[in-house]
Amino acid sequence: MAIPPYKAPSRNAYDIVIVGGAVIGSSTAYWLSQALGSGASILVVERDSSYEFSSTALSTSAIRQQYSNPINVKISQFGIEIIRGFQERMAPFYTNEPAPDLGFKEHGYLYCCSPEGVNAARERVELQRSLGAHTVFLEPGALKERFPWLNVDDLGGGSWGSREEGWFDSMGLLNGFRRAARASGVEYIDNAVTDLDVSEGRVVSARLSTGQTVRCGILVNAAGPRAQQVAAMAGLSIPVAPYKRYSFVFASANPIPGRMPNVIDLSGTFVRPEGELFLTGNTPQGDGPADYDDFEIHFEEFDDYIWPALWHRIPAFDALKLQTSWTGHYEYNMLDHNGIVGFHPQVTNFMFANGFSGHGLQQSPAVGRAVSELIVHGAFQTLDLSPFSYERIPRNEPFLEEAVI
Amino acid sequence: MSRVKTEPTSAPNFILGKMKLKILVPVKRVVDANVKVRVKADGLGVELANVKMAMNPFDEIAVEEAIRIKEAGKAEEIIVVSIGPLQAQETLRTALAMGADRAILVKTDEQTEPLGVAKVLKGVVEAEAPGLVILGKQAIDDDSNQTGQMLAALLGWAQGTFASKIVLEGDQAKVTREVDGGLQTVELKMPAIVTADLRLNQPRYASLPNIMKAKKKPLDEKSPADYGADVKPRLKVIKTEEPGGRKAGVKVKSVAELVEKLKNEAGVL
Ligand SMILES: Nc1ncnc2c1ncn2[C@@H]1O[C@H](COP(=O)(O)O)[C@@H](O)[C@H]1O
Repeated sequence: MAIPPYKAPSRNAYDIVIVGGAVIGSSTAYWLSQALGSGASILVVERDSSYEFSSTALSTSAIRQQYSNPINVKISQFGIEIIRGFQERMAPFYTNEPAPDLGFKEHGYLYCCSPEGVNAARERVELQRSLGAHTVFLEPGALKERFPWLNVDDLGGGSWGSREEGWFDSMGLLNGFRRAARASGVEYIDNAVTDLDVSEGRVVSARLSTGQTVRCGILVNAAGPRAQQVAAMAGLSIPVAPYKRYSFVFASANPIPGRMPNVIDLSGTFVRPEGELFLTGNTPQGDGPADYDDFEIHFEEFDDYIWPALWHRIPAFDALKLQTSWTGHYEYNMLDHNGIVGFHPQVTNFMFANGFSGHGLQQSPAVGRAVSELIVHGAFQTLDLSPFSYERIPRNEPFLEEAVI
Repeated sequence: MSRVKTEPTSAPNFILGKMKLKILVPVKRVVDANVKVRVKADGLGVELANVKMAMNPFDEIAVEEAIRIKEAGKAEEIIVVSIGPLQAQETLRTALAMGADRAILVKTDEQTEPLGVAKVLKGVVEAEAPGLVILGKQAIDDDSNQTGQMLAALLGWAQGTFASKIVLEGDQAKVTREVDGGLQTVELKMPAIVTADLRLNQPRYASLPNIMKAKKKPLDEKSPADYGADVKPRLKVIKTEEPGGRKAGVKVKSVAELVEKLKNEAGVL
């Protein structure tokens, strides 16, 4: 897929310029357009609207409630609400055709838990339940009974989200937000922001790779794994870098009966059904920042690490065959693998929506809405996402999330 | 493993009941069938950098058939051979993990072509004296569908191509062939060459424990020169093109318009 030819913007000044038109940028554009109507001018600049390498397109597209932080649980709950009601919400923007159904597969997540981790896992389950999630903690016996194909010998149990967790169509979500935003007056252009002009604590304009300069009232950084490149254009710095994640789709000689959840092994390897096939991935060996254009895959990761882990946890996975695979990028926040949402304190019209570290897609509905609230009302109106504010970065105060995969 | 250079092919060592059959299966390392291939910028081939490679699917079927014959007690040893780069070892290891007994890598970095491969295989046959060679009907990278036939000609052996069924009885191989519009069964006197078609069997997946075990199975490395063969390419690729993209469809307004278009544009009515 080739990058579509770049186009010039239709105006030379916008109230809001969003850098990045994938799911975070498009959710933001959607919420802003619904809040502001056609009264505001909004430009979304997307460097590759084929989305071939975008994290949205390459995501494994799952959503869970099983977090250790209440705010992350609530963000996901809102995500579920949006996913469930998406078709209806989008219907006005799809007049002569059906709006996208996101194909939500509500199979749940099953987090395997080591014997040492039982207490912490039970606490997390309690926290999630107190917030309305349907997570349950299963002892090894109960776990085995429900999932007979699971090896529980070395487990202390598992926490299973029986409802409101699963996986869905990432591009459907992106396309819906994008279409709704455009229908509501947002302008999308194929182009790349190459530099920002900052003056007296404000981004005054963005320069485009086709040579134009557009003035902006507010600039939103929704550049995904390239977030730091955009921050640097304003002389700012965030500890966000692309981290490679490999996804492998395989066939198994032995089927797994029943409704298989997304299983998260102690090794950090996940596996879930994908039709008759299965999708798996892990935190690769030697994980660290990658080049922006490095999408090279390492098949050894599957052969030497993932498969042995899968076979240990699910002995029926002894005879497998790889079908397809791809590499995507996490926009990884190296401080605390949580998102950064909010204005910069000194460059006061520079908005971050970055660093979601692998939960960007599932958090995009809530993040887009939160960014819109900050811009429109100057404060959060619904979910308070202030724990994600930029201020913790220079203070080097991590806002930790224990449940990462 | 004694390697007698020119064992007379007229005196096969597989007379059933006395000594059992040895089966040779040539396997080629090709771009994985699931990969969407891209033509290289110079148009002289396809992009191989960082592309997943795998055993040619028809060769998996050939390996599977050899294993089933052995499991039925009708063969004693399965030897797999690949002519290709060092990485073709991985393909051979897969065949060993499926159940082959030993492997030979005939190492070359040349782009292999059917005639060169057939010449090497002739040398391997003379050295190993198999009673049956099962090849894939074609390699999915070059789609040549020539190697088995060339090998049969070079050896002067009987051949049964496009096999969908193989039955061994004494020194006879009954091979059901998939031919246009039906099936044909031929009886070959072994030693013989068979090429595997798609419906011959459903190859098994190599299991992880067997992949581990296969690491200890013997894998010899040879060169084409060891078999007195020259694999230098004789063919010159002039151009490689991607298939034409699908044309956009049209919406018809009525059945009459559809019929009209099918008749006059598509020419199918
Ligand atoms: N380089 C190779 N190494 C081993 N076997 C090969 C090689 N090339 C072709 N073959 C065998 O010959 C069959 C037919 O290949 P082809 O004539 O190239 O379509 C394949 O299915 C393999 O069994």
